[in-house]
Amino acid sequence: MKKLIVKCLIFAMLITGTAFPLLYRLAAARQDRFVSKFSYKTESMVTGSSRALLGLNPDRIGKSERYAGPFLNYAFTQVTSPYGETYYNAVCRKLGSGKDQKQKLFILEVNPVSVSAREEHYPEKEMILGRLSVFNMSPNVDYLLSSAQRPAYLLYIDKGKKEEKSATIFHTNGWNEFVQLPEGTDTAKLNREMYEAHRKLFSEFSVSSYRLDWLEKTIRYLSEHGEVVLVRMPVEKRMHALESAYCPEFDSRMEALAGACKIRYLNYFNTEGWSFYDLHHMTAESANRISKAISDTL
Amino acid sequence: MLFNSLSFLVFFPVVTGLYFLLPHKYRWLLLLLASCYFYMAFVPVYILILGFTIIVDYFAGIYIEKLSGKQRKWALIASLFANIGVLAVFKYWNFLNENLSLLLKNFGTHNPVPFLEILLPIGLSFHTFQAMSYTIEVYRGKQKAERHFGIYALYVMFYPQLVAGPIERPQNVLHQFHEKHSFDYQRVVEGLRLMLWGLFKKIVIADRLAVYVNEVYRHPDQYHGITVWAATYCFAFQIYCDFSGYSDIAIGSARVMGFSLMQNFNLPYFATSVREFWSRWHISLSTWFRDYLYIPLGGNRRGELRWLINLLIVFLVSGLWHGAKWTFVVWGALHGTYLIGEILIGKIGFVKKIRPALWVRALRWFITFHLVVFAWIFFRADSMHDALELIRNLTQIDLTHAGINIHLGYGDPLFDKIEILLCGFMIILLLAMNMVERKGEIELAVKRLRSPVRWLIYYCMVMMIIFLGNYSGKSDFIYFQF
Repeated sequence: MKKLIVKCLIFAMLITGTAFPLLYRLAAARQDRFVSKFSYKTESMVTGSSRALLGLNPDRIGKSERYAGPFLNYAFTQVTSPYGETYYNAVCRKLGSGKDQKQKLFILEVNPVSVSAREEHYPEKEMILGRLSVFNMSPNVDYLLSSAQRPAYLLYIDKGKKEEKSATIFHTNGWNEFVQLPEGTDTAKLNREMYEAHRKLFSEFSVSSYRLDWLEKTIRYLSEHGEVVLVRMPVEKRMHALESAYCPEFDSRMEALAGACKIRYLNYFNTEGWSFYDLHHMTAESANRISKAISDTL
Repeated sequence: MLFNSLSFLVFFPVVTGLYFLLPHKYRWLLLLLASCYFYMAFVPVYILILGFTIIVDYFAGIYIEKLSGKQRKWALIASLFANIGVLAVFKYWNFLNENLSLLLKNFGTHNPVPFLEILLPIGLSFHTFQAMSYTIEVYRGKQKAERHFGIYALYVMFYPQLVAGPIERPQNVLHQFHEKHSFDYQRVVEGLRLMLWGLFKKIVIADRLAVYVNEVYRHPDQYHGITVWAATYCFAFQIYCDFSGYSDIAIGSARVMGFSLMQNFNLPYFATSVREFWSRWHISLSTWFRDYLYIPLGGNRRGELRWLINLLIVFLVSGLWHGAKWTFVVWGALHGTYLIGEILIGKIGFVKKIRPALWVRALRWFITFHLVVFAWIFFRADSMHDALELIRNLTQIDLTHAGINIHLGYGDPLFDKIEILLCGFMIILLLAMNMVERKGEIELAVKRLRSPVRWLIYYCMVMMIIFLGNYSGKSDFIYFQF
């Protein structure tokens, strides 16, 4: 048995010594909108959908340095990170050991879609948050292989290539800062398609008790570690009308949930004066402004 | 827990190491706990269903042995009822209910029976069949009832073969759990080698072919001609590599610990008749149906017509075993029809006189292979409509645009082309390995190689698994859904 163990260890070292440096180089060269979210543990965080991904800049929220850092924007997209068991587990894997004595802050962006589902179908389990084994590694080889949508040898041919047609800057704090839409984008068509997509979505989805339960579990878990705040982001007026028609009681549900969990609910849904590049994703200026507004409120 | 996951990479050496370190009398407990952990990694609560069938069958076995006459029969019926009942509820309830709804709709009435919103417990079809073979063999007097509850539970739950077989017989496996297995270097290396080959087939070949197959089968209206032909051939090799890869990992991991599981695949695509194909494909299932359905129905002992009907029944049930969809039933019916056709054609005078010359064997192989590949269309298609559309599209070959025209989603048309070529190369590599395997020379060939050459081969295989594997998609084994 000793002979076999020694041979296995030598073989494992051979593999580790050759394959992993190559994979590390690939992972280090990778630039996409989510890679920074899987590089390090965090003390404070923002969670939610793409509205938070583009709309909340942790550096502006935590500017007063009252809060424990690092402060990570851990929001993804409507499909990748709706509230549920998968996102809850991903959030738990993200929290650091709490060596910083400052208060931790958790901003949970909520909207009707993030607590809705189609016929108890939860596709996020098959996506990156459900597939990943390693959540905190720099560079993250597991993320590289799980998210790349292609085998590693093709990544090697293609290494260092930035995600094409990106309209955003990917900050290391996880915030995706909108810069500009690709040249020639028909914004009217983009908005029409987005409106239709959401109208169809609202006709097929319904508010999910599964998602609401897991939102509450996420709140209660994070409340044990720091201050939790629910935030509803503003949207453009056409999206406002769609969402209000879909779930008119959303605000009262969130207020009740916040009351039960003894946390605050900051509702910006009915406010105006923000700018969006489509129906619900903020420009960088508005993102920084709303982040500061939240910081000032807290 | 999947065999091709990081968790299994940790689980397997830890369990195996502890297995050899523990005294023999505690090993069954370690394996049982490990198997529980392995199963609960999927949906933990479903272990209760497994536990229920284990308890029922354990006591059924004892009562069958103790009792006599009709009471023995009732004990057997209780066991079969529990196992088939669980299968019926979890696997077939909604399918039967859906068809009942359609039927009642034709009569203008509404179906009051509710649908169940439950996930299919993983490996249900496999472990229930394995459990049923135990009580049937005890009833037939061919197996003594196992008195040790833990050993019996381990027989059903043994993690290498728990979720996708091979479906074992108690005579082969039960006694092995009582025997002491010492560490044997050569045996352990053979087991590890088999596991490596299984992983290679699954990750490098099957998952690669899956990208091409999934693209065509998800969009049957978009692809025609050679593209569809290629997808159909690719699926034949995908399912073979996926399932035989799983079996190799299962058999290999058991062999490392000293357990001998039955062979489940024997180069099925070299068969020169459908009958031969079924003696080479999913051998544990086909022999199960032979021993527990075909023979009790009368086999070929009740006249020719009854014989042919029995064959059709077996294949229809086999199709249904694979899944609660009409496409699987059609797949089974096709194979039953093929077999019946073979028997009837074999009775024709001039056919009987044909000598088995090389060209005859080649022709028979060609026909058999394509009959099997054609049936796979129904097996893989998402619906009957999709299957029929793909078959229609097979015939639409545009010679002015010959070639494979497909977007695989690798981000660059050049990458798509590289991957298609790699799919072709992998199939050729697999066939070459199978040719060597066919001569029974693989183990001998490997042992003859010098140690550095063997290490180089293992190294290349592992590097190919890491760099050529596609880890971004869902990579469950196909047979997990059964």
